Amino acid sequence: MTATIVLRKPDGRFAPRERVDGSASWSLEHAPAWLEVRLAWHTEGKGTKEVVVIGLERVRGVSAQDQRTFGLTLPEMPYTYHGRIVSILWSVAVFGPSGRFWHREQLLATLPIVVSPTREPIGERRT
Amino acid sequence: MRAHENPYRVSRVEALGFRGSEPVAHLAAAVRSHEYRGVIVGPEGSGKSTLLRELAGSIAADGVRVRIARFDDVAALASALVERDTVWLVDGAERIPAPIRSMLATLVRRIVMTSHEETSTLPLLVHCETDLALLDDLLAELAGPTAASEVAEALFRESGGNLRLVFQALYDAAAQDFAGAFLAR
Repeated sequence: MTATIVLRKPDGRFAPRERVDGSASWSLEHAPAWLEVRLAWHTEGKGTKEVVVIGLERVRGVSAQDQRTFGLTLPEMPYTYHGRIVSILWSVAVFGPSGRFWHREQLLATLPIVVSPTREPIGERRT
Repeated sequence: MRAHENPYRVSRVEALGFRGSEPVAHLAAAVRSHEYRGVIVGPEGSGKSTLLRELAGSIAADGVRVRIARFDDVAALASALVERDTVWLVDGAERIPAPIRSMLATLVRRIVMTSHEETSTLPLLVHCETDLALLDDLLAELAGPTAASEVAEALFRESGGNLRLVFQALYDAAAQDFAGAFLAR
């Protein structure tokens, strides 16, 4: 059971408002009832993890082995940030139903990306 | 060290499984045998919330509706009084004023609470406890053989065995590279 995400921009570095284009392919045991490609950011660090989904594309009627293209547009903010107390990390991910529980979901693949005007993570200079 | 590289970041600490004297499957069976009622007792940072989250998964597999409500989620707790088929898992219930806590335990049909002490209205499921062996296990899982175990053990004693506080302090130490300062104390 595998899924793969390939971006049109292989370096995975984007400016705000840029469009994230790519394709998702998967090879599952059974044809899933649905699959979803999500563009999201989340926090990591001292506080409770927060996940914000910015955009998603849901596909239905797919085969167990299949491929779909997607295109999701980034917002202006937030930028990828690497701090000591909190980091903000962007990613594209593919979710699908979890086993026989179609209403529960599982992460099938994820690919980190960087979002900032300089296309470099914002953060303190390493010492 | 950046937050997303910190071995003690919350997402990793929360992903640690419950390590108690009894497996979660046994405790879930105990909840079922008590018709989805019970209390998880233990001091702060002893794994009560971790256990509650894991119980939620086990109980949901029975096909019953499960909701976790924080102690300060007034709307959810009010719903608990009327949604009688739902299993309510109340996290941090020890912070709810005693009369309200007692009312919930009496009136909510299916309820599992965390608490600092046993209660007469709910059957005891487990006493959560921490010790240095548990701390060592968790440290090894979080940070591997390089874990600052001496620092952690000192923090463990200072905090009275509160693992949440220990990991928060270790997070700060890793983030600010204050480990040396802790060691020097």
